[in-house]
Amino acid sequence: MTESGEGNPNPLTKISKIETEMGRTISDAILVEILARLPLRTIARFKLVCIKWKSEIESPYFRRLFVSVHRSSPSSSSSSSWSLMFALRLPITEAIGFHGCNAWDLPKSLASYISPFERYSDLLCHYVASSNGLVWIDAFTIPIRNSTEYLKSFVGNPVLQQWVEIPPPPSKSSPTGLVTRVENGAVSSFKVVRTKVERTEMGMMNVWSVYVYSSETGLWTFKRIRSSCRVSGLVPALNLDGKLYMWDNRCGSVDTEFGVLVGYDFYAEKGDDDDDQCRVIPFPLPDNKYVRRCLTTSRGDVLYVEILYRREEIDMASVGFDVFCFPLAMNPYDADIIYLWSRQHECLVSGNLRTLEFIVHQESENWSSLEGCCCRINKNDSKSHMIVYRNEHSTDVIVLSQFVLPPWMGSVPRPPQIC
Amino acid sequence: MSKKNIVLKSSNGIIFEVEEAVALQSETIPYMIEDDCANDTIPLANVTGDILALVIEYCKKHVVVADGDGGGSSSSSQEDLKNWDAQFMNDLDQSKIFNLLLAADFLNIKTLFDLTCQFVADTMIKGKSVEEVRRTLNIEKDYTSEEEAKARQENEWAFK
Repeated sequence: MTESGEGNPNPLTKISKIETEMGRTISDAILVEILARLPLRTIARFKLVCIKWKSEIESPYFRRLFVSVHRSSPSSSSSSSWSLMFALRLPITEAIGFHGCNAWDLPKSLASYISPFERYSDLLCHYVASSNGLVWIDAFTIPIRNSTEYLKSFVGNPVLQQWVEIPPPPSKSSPTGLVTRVENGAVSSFKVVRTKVERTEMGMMNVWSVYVYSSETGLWTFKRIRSSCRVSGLVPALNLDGKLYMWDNRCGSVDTEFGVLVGYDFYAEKGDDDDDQCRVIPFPLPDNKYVRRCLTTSRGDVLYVEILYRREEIDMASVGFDVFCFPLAMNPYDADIIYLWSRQHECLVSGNLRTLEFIVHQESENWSSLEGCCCRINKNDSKSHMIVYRNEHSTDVIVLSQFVLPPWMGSVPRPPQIC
Repeated sequence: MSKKNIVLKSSNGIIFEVEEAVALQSETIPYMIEDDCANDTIPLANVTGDILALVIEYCKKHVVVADGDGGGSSSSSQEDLKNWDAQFMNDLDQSKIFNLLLAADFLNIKTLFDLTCQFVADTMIKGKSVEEVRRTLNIEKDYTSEEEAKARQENEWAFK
């Protein structure tokens, strides 16, 4: 009664019946319908019941059924567990984390699956980026004079504890971003993007040099991407649909003195070289010289958020909104929900832009229920991470990373060499 | 316009007369009406009277709410309906729940099927260990201990 007619007959409608303790029989088809309504943590456990259950659970039919059931389930509000992560900072931590969604039913927040990074807990580890549930981790030693920096990169799913080690890049480079391609609801490929550290030569100003590692080839390739402004590639990049988005403020032109949004599609089919160029969009003129702004994504859009002061539509006085309040990100599933950092209160604030309700989260390291999901608000680490914005003249665009679990426990794409 | 009624007959011969809108939440019944148009009574050979009474109670509740506020989209009525569903399921014993699930499947009532499947998943299956599931459903362990250890290792995260 659910998915049918897709040309893929349900392998479970065979005649065999399973006796239940009720003395009645339920067909395999109904049993599968029941299993598909369990969370992934339970389903993964039940692969051990018998060989048949394992192969049924791993079938494409079951995956589609699970995803469709959990998408339409009224209690899950169609959102998966996710965390708002601080990228490229020590230690690996989240500002706010929602776990306990019906699809995964996890006992703890996502950052606690990454930190400490089990493989190299003795090294320094950075969370670099996340895309469609995959996470990129760099493990490294502190470079001491004349010593070679030791670096290992991993891309994987921290919850499933599946990691692919990425070979070292061809030369010195900085982490930039991670992009993925999704096919039939599962991640089929990922690309790791590092920006090559180059001496800026005349005439090279508008070229962004990158190393790109593809899980399809298992190799690094070098690429020069043209851009109408300079791209540093040193700030954390957002990603959406195989594209990276970064902000840059060193363009030098009057039109773009408040920075630009740079976007590039790493999965685009390139016809000829003329197309191989970044998209550059100048940010709007700020409302105020103490501009407080962030770059984030929600429901498939890249969003630029800027706080406008003294607007009557939103009474921000109750939360003390002023030049010391910084937008951090939007909720990936709900573009009405925003998260902010209040320097005055030194705590996180969540706000609903539709109902204009703002909540100051005073609790530190507390587990509570927010937005109908188990939630962790990490006040202490947020405070230490937000210290870089203590300068009231800081007009940087804040970019935090949303680590969102995928709708299904798909395996991490492996490069051909490690298959 | 007078409302048309439909007569349903359970496997043990109990007759229920319901409004058409109530019965048409089942996607199976329309086919039976077409096939059986000579006779006004629709026989349901797979559903006993006590279970059919529950099905009709559920369908009546859901059809009323859908009419009530012109679309049934207001959040309070959705919330009420959710609470009613939870109470409805909680009042049933396990045997009734299984039979209701089978009836919802046979009659093809999507929302009732979802509700009963979810209830069985949450209350009877979710908390069970692998051993308990095997025992409950009378499934023989067919893994060799080597294969089991491998599968266990692959899914280690789910046991933490």
